[in-house]
Amino acid sequence: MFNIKRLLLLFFIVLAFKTLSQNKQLLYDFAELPQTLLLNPGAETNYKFHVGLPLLSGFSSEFGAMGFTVSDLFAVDNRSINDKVSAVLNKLTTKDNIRLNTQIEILNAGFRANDKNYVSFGFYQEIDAIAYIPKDPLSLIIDGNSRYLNKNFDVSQILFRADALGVLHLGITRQVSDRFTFGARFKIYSSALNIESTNNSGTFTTVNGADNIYAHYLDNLDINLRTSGLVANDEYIDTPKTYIGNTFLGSNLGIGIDVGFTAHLSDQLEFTGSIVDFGFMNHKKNVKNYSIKGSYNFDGIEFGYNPDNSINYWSDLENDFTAKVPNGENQDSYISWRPTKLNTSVKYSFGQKRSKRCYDNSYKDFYRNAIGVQLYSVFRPLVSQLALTGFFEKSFSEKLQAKVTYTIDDYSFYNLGAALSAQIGKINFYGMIDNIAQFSDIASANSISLQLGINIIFN
Amino acid sequence: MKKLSAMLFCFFAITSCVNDLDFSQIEDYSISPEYTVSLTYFTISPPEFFNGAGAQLPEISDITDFRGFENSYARDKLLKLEFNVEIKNEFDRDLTIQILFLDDNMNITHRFDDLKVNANNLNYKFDETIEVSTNPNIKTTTKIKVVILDNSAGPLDVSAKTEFEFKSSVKIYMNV
Repeated sequence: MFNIKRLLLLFFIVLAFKTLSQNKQLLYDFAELPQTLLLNPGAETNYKFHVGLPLLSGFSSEFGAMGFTVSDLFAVDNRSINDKVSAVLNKLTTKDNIRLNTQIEILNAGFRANDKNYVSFGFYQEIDAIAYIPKDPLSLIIDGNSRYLNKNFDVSQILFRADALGVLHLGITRQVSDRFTFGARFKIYSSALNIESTNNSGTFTTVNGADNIYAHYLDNLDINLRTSGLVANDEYIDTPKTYIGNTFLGSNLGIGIDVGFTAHLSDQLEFTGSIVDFGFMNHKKNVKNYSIKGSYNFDGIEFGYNPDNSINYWSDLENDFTAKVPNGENQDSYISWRPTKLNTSVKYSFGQKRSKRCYDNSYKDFYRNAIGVQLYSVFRPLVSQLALTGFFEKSFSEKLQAKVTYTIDDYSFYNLGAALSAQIGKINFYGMIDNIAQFSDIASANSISLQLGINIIFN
Repeated sequence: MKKLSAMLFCFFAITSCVNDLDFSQIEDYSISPEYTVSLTYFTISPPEFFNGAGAQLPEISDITDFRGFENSYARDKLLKLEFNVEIKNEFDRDLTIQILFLDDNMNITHRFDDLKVNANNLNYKFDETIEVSTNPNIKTTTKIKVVILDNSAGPLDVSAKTEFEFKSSVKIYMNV
């Protein structure tokens, strides 16, 4: 049974935890990990081949609070929950959003084809969702329209998108010269679920009327909801097995590409860049789309007092509304674009110089310390989101490396993260955690993230 | 390898903690929206009080379906209804307005006290609040009828340029 309180609980919990996942600032260009190739196919590698431990080679999930924390709402204090919810809602703006992104690698492997080329491939599943805060529609639901005379409730604030998909990928990293490495990765997306509502428009307004006390205006309403993978034969798909199955070469496929490079401007200065997930998906099976469009003015029901011509006012009103604001369903195929990510970094290495053995038994010099900056951007429906990261890397030995980051983004100005990569024999283990400063109280944290994985690497 | 995993796990387990949280507080959360909606309105002039044969009528009435309470969710969450009526009477006589709420069988589910509007009263206002808990029948309303009674015995000048304006709205209080 529909329970708005439980819905709100879910809403606030989801709202309080968002994922900043795609900005894997700790993983990017770190320790030549195989997973860095998914962030930059032009990243340098120095091994013969690698195999990620199935389901354990890469898991990432980063959570954060958007302008408030879980404890703002659910801490045990003497404030009423209504006061706390009002305070949180007042803080939110239409640019605030809920983001969720998790990836889990099912397969990740690679091998050196020759001295110049390293081939990597694999399959991962991803959930990616973003929903902007529909502040006006929320106000209309929570407060009603009585206290907002003359206010235009803007339905264009309804803007969300959710994807569950599988990604089959094959990439090649080519060392063009000692100083320049270039890579590209081809991806086949298989969408298990897509729900999106974008490019909506229209306003609802209540004003003091002329013919009646109030007049209501629905202006240029145009709302759409597109879904694929959610409804089959007019019934919701509710079996997880079906969704998981559709992530591997299902019926709603798409293609994409990653490209990237690493350039050494000098022995100590490195410049990298990548574009990830430039692609789209074509949704054509189990598609169900909904739309409503039109304008309507309502002053009330005008009585005619004509005893010779009795009018069914209510039916007339319904028919008139349906004619002027038609709604409908269709199963038209559609295309959705992947959120394309842009990474770039500049790194300066310094300190003691050491050598490490390469896959071909040659030796390569490396500096024990490095410092640099990274810039990350993801193209989203409303605005691109940016993050700037400063980092310090330390190689304790050839097999043990660490990275510390400080990230500034739309949500936090003091995000401190740390990463560790260790290789014991052929087993590589890496772990990363973000926003360490707030780890002492997760419920009050603005963001917490975790990435970890295990690889088998053969030098 | 095992040592390193164990160390990391212990680090996270020991250093992370969560202050006391109580998610059951959401059960105490309530939403109390207030929606203002226009209802019926009309403007009539003297000819409306005459039938096709030219005879003056002592009362006229009109009725509309109202299906606002058909939605069970809205019906269950309904708390209070606050009706507002504004009338401008340019007629040279007192008029009485009856506002009746009816169910499918034309039984009265609620009726306002008669609105007695004096002649030439251009700013008559009326409001009435219905508490649903004490007037649950209101939720079975499916029709609204407005009757206008001419209280005077005297003839009405059919060619007079006077008008009678009626406006109404309702503020719906809900508790979700």
